[in-house]
Amino acid sequence: MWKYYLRLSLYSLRKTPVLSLLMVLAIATGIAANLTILTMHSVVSSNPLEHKNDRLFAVQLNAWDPDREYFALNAIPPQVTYQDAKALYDANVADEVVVMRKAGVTIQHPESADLPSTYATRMTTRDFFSMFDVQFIYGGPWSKNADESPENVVVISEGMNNKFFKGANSLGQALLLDGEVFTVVGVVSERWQLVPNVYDLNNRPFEAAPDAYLPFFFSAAKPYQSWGNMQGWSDKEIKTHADFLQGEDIWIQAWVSLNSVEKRQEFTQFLENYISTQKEQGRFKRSPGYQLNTPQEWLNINNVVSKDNKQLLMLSFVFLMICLVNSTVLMFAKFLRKAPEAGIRRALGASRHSIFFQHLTEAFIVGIAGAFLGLLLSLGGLAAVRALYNNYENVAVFNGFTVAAAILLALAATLFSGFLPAWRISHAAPAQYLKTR
Amino acid sequence: MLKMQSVKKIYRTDMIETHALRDFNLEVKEGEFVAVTGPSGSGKTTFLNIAGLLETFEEGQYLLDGNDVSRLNDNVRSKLRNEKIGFIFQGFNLISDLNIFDNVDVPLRYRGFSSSERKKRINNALEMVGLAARARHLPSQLSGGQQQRVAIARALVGEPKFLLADEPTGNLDSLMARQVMDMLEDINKNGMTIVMVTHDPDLARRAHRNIQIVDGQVTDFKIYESYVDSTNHSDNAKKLAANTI
Repeated sequence: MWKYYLRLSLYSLRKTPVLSLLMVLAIATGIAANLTILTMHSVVSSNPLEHKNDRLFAVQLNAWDPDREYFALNAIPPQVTYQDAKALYDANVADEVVVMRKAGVTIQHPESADLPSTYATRMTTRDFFSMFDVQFIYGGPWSKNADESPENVVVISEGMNNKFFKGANSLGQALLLDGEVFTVVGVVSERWQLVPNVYDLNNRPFEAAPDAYLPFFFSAAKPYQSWGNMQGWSDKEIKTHADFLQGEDIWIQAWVSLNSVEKRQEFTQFLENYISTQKEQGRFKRSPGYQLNTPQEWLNINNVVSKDNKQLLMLSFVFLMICLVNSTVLMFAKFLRKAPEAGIRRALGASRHSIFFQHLTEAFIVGIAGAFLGLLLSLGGLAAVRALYNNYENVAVFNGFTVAAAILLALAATLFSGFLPAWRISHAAPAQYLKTR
Repeated sequence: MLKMQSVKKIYRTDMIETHALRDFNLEVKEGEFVAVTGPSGSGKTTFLNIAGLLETFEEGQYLLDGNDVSRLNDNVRSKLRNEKIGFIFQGFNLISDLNIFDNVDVPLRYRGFSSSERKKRINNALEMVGLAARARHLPSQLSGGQQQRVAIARALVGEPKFLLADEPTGNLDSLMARQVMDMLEDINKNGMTIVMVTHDPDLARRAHRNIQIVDGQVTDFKIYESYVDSTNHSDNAKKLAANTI
């Protein structure tokens, strides 16, 4: 019977092409707007580290100004000082520990005549790569030794590898970083991209993965250009880089991996002891002294999904509803015009059920066509967002969620815009139309 | 075949209550050709709609083919309508978007017949009304008489037990009206029970009996001699008269 309903629906839609097109456009417009916003919202509100949510923790240490609490987020600084970062690393308590920063470094191929360009790099400890599931196409992280006594090693992105080495295996090849020779030990796949960048929400949460990675503790020896946020409260004079490292400026992100309850207790104990020691030296006068946040908690604290995002999503649903109501009205008009035909079919033996499903099939075709067109329009919408806002390159992307949402929205559109008209027509008294036809 | 006892049908609006049928009694035997006449608004069409299970009624009993069909749900009523009743309307009521073949196919679609069975039946029905060659034409490409013959083919294709015709010649000129009536008579002679609503006394006379409805009740009952003579059912006809008036 479904094939028959489908045929009748196509007849019916062909008979009133303008009305059919208007219904499809009404649904498509609503779905396109909703799908574009919904897709972006799904990406923005996702947690790419969901599978590690029980064992990864962003570390907050509250060594902030004793006279004023930290001015944002949960009133605890989101980054740590160099001296605290070093203490976290040196303690060697957590299963994995990552201290890192964003830096701008000039990188150049030694044999290239081109002028060097500055790239976004991440100075980090090696556990970064395992903690955040970084995928390599060549090589891997540097050694632990290279962390502790920084060696001139670099991990580069696939994009950089394509640029400098034309995509060839570049392991062992040399690059100049701020004029010094570094050896490539790994190439990160361009498929690896956390969205949002949970590991560093101080900077733009949706920016592209770094171009290169180098050992964090080079920061101690060389004042690489800081590209991340840096905040401070102390008025203590800083004359040298060593003064800066020992100062109270916060500029480093710290993460730990604690794979068991015991490990978590051990790490908590370490933090309490550390803070207690620091208090004796006049630091850590605020309470609480620390906070450990799971990736999801960290996303929430940093308001990655802003109030504007939520309002925009709500508005897109309201717009969709308006479009669907329009489509419903058009569908009503169309079906009521076909009421005499339904009356004839009823007289010839069609049950209310049959009439209902025949018309729902027509509504379904309109819904599917609307969703398909809406999907195409939303691709345009996402491309427009990417073109307008370059920090949304990783957010405004077509994905499986978009397709699933389109299918669900098509079903919802069918039910919403078709159910009532189909029900109404199936419950019309057939005799009324047989005489008046 | 069809028996209505004390049937009462009321149409209600917020302000008005109209008694379309009241204490309505009628029996139609298998193989009969009954004409129903009466002034406009007398309840003829209401009777036909109730007989065709298109409308429900407030009180009374309706036996169709020996079964009480007074209080059935929509699915069962639709099934009975599909299997046992054929409709012919004054305005033909063909579906303009569908060609002749597909129009005749409509009742069979709800019957669940296989494609080959439907095709066989449709071709036979169109052969019977002399329109097999026009199967792929749209209704708008046929004359009024031809359209009514398509409607007859559609009414008969499912081999119903009886045929309900509402002014079947009302929209036709006299020549075509005669052709359609000849066709209905032939169908009746082959055993089909027919109930036909008409305003035309000449057409009514071609039936076996004439029931007159006035103000929702059967007020007159006439058995035509041709029927008594031809069927030799005078006793039966007299009993019918006694039962229905």
